[in-house]
Amino acid sequence: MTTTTTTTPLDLADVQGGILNPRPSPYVGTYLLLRIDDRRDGREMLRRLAERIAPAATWSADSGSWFNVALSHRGLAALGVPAESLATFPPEFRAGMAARAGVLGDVGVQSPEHWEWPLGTADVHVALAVIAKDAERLDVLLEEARAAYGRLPGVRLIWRQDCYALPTEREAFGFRDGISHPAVEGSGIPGSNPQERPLEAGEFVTGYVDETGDRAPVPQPEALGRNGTYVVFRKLHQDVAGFRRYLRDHSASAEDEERLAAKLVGRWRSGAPLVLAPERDDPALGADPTRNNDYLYRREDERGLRCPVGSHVRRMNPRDAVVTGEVRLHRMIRRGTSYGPPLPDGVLEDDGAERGLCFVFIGAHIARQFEFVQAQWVGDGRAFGAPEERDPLVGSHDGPGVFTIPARPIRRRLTDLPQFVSTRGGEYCFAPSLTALRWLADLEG
Amino acid sequence: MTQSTCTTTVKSGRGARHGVVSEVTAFLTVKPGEADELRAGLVRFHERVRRAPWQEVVKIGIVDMRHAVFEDDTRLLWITSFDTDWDPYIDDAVAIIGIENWQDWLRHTVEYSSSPEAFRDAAAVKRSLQAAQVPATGFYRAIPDLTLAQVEKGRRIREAFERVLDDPRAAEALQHPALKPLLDEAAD
Ligand code: HEM
Repeated sequence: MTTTTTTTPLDLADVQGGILNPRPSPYVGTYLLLRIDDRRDGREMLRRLAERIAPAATWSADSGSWFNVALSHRGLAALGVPAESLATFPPEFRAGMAARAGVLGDVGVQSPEHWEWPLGTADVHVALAVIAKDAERLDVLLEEARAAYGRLPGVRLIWRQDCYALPTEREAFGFRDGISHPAVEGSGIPGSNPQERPLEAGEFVTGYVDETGDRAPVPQPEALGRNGTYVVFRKLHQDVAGFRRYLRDHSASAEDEERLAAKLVGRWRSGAPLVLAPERDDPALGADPTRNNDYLYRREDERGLRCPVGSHVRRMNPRDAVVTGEVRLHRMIRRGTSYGPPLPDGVLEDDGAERGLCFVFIGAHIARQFEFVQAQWVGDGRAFGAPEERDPLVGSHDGPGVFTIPARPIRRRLTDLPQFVSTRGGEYCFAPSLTALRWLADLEG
Repeated sequence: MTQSTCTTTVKSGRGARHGVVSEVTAFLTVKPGEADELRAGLVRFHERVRRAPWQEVVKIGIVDMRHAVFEDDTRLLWITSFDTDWDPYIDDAVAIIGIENWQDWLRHTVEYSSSPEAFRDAAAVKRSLQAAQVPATGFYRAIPDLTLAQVEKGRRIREAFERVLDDPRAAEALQHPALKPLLDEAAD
């Protein structure tokens, strides 16, 4: 890919603070979805919220709590954004996540007609993320959020999802999450892999040169379209008991179970990557942010003897490994947060509780980044030379899944993987710049 | 993998070659008003070839093939690549696929239907294609040096090897020094 020398500096004074930045640890959050029944009330809410959102230039996690706001295509329409302007947004965003179910593999029991209401319906207009370091501060901020929408009869709260990131930073299957994230050129936010060149700002913020060497068209007018980013959220149920049973049934010892679990993910539970800790978990490595993502694949592990080519993290970011396509065009910022009560340690039977991951993607190109990764790297194996395989951790299988674990002297092949993760619903949203929030609030008519 | 350049040889007629594969690119003229019948005939033709068992696929020698009707239904593009040289083998391919299956679509092209030997001599197929052929400026195949038979053999060996590896006794069996090259491939 070309490195561009004449890029416009990223206008951090206009980007919503807290979107590009890693979140503090631990933290709690609440995702709210709102419907706009009266555009004037919707605009008034945005005006109030915009006042409370710090620009990325001065934003700091030390503030302890913050909002981010994003709108679906229908939300923009509900605010009265003119049709000519709506037509300048990318087609997949205009279609919305439910309409893209075929591309994303949300079929059968995971198809939108089975999603949790109101996900996937025309009612989802505004997504409000309320994030705080602890529950007390969250309550205070939720109060403030309520002040922004509460007394406006034309805005209705239709969904609330409470989430949390544990102090251990473990997701529901028990792995440290939120480790690997890319550096964004000009953002000042360091990436977690010192060996990965920062990605061009246009990969994550609209209106800048991206990794193609070009500046993608910006939704019009520029006041609305520039300095924004797309936010994809997906509520993903995790079958934790099923995952634990699978490990137990395919291992000879507790140690074996941990090794198998690590092979599926590509990291040990502590977060230590298999490439750097091939034999056993190394909790000190897993916990050390200066080392736990400092690796590539090709030199150390071309054939996947340490980290399987088909493991979750190697699929999601093949780094320098040889796969079909150009990896740097398919990177993303993630903000995953757990929901639901953790399944107590050692429990192997499902307790019927809803739990999983509120997956959040952030990037400037929904189709080329999120949809590509979900369809090609999660839901297919051809890019990795294994057409019959899917992502062993998060992929959907229409039958028993296959997963190859390279090993000496002989590779191991699992041929009976069940599905561990199921889609409960989600939406494609646009997180406008601060200028755009004011532009939307000032719409007339 | 051996590097081979794209060359045109006398044997490959006016088609270009990359490794063991040659190409044919032909622009034919659609008989006025017959585009729909042409398309229907082509669908049948492709179905016929897709149904062929592997042994027959190797005998036919067509590596890949596409047909596209364009310019308001007036023209037909045929692009194909062929194991070895297409020129000496095209008559064989016509015979194996069945002349009637070629005529089924070629009859809707000017080049074939206006040829005096059409419907009488199988060689009319080759002549009408040659008449419509244009030289390719570039021709590239990612795997230029394997014939279809070699690809098929490779597939069978791979499947056999996977079956061996699925056997719990494989690790021990592959320790024999004579099997060292296979053991090196057993890890992934
Ligand atoms: C419930 C579902 C999921 C679980 C439990 C899960 C879990 C994990 C874990 C434990 C890691 C390693 C920690 C890290 O590098 O931050 C990871 C990394 C990652 N995941 Fe997931 N994930 C899920 C769904 C997804 C989905 C749907 C996508 C994308 C469409 C995705 C994309 C990624 C990416 C890009 C990485 C970083 C890879 C790297 O840079 O090395 N994940 N995930």
